[in-house]
Amino acid sequence: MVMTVTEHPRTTDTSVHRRALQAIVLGTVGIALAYASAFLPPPMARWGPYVMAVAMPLNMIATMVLGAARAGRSLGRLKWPMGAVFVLVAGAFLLALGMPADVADGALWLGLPPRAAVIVYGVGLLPLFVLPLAYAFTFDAFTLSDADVERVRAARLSPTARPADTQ
Amino acid sequence: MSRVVSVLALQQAANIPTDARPTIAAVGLAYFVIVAIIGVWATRRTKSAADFFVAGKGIGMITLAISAMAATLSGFAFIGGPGLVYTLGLGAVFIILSASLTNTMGAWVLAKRLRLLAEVREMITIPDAIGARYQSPAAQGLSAVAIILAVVSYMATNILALGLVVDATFHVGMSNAIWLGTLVVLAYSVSGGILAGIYNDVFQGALMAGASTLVFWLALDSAGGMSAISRTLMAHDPALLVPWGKLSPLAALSFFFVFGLGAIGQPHVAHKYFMLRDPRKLKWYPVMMTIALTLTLLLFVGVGLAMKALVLQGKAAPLVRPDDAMPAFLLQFTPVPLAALVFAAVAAAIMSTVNSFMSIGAAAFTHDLPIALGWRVRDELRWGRIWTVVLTVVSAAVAQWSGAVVAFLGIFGWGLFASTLVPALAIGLNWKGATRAGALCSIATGMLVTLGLETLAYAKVFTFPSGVTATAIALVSSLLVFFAASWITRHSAAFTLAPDVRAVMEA
Repeated sequence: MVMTVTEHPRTTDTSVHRRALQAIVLGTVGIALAYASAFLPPPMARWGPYVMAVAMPLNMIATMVLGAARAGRSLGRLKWPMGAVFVLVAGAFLLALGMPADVADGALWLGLPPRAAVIVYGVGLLPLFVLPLAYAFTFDAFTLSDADVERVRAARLSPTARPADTQ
Repeated sequence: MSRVVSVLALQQAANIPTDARPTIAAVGLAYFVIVAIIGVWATRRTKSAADFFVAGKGIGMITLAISAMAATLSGFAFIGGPGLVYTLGLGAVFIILSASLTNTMGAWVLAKRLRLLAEVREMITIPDAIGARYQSPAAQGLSAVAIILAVVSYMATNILALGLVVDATFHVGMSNAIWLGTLVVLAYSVSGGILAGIYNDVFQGALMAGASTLVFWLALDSAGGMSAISRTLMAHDPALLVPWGKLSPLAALSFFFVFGLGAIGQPHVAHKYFMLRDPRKLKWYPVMMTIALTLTLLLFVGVGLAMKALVLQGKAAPLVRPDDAMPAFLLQFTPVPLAALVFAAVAAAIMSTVNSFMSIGAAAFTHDLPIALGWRVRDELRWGRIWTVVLTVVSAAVAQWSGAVVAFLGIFGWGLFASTLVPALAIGLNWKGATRAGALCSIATGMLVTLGLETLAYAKVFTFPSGVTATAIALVSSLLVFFAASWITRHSAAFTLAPDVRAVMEA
């Protein structure tokens, strides 16, 4: 028996798509609950931002996964940058919510108070170096190859391609 | 609201010192001459409706990235943004913080699918893509109605802002300035269509990024560097440097959500994906877009914090209005030619956005609504030009005569785009289980919730608790309705998908 390792291990279903969709719905429900918490009396509304801090990156990263996933294929090595950015963003929000208040003469992290630095650099800066490069370096293997483009063009040329064209 | 009202701060420019006015007017004039030259060049190359609406599908990746960045940012990034940071501190930064995710998210979720759709169908508009995805002229028409409503609102607020910039630069009076600014954008948009818009965007985007980078560096330098700014703010007004600034945590996080996920529902940006010459050129698009956007947004963060520190350090007089942060900094701490360049950059940011709105609005009237109604427009190029004029004149009239209502109109532009297009377009192009009923219900929900809640809030019928906005509720509602309606009608999902569209979604 010969085992072949490929960039796109085939799966029998579209499990990545399904899980991404489930995560988007879960994230959206979480965001709705976070907003609903704002209508509660203040002591009861404290959990809202914590739910938002996790639900929002879950929703956004899952949307990215939905766009990046290919039918019948695993996410491959793309799961690492996407997972890392989810942990980074959700972690930074939770950390900023949980850290003690900064003091006036306390240490600065790269010119900012620690809690502010966690948000500005953790959420605003670090993902800038991860996601665009992950997209570029996996583009040929995971996103769009010449063969993919040819397959799509062939679908246009096929006489059965547009049986119910609305235009 | 601040997006619109804050731009009124450009009236600060009326206080431009007399000796600086000739330089600012000369740079402004030079800017308009370059815009006109690009417009004439593009006009000669506009021969068909495809040239007029989608630049003949012939632009390169760098052009796409800079143009998309220029269309994304309006004058708010240069005036209202620094003003908000000055007032709210880091809480206002959450508006742009999600840019670290959204460029790549847009590339994965939308850019590839839309560009590939243009390989199998004649794609001119974003509603075209929705119509093709769901084989539904009704969905195409409904999304076109949402786009028209949002475009008129957005254009009115941006034209008002453009009038303020033109008045500040040339001192011609507000009313004349509105029509003068409108005429310049209209001239190159009507004659050269999106082709003129795209190449003007490149010039305008480069100007915006360059000016922003220089001003950011000068802002930090003037206030003694980032550490000195932080020490000053922590000593006098520490709430500004709390991660959420002077907002509640939920309000700041809500900014991140609405401007993050909502970014992939902005049709004036997504529409540009059709124009890329080769879909494989998307490879480096997020990198280029991220560099361009990050450089241009440096000013948003830097000037607001630096100006606050300069005031607290006694190096600058307290501001009358927070939105004066940017003009006051320019006039007090930068050389006059750079200040003039930034005023031109503000005009550039507004004009590039207005041009993009003109294009998608005219296309909705010329192309999408006739398809939804079963009509066929014979000469789309001619009618595209006519509708561009009509839409622009209506928007300029709204800007001039609507008074405070213009601020209200500007509020729901972003929200209407986001709540009507994110589910049906961004999710729908990546989920084969999405159905026509799901798309129609979510677009209708987005429109009704946005318009209904914004109107009630504007009429002060009720006030939302801190952190909750009509835009956020509309976006969440339309997403949930989209999933629920698609699930209920899931038996029809397989019939909704044409084979060529299926090939695009599986690529």
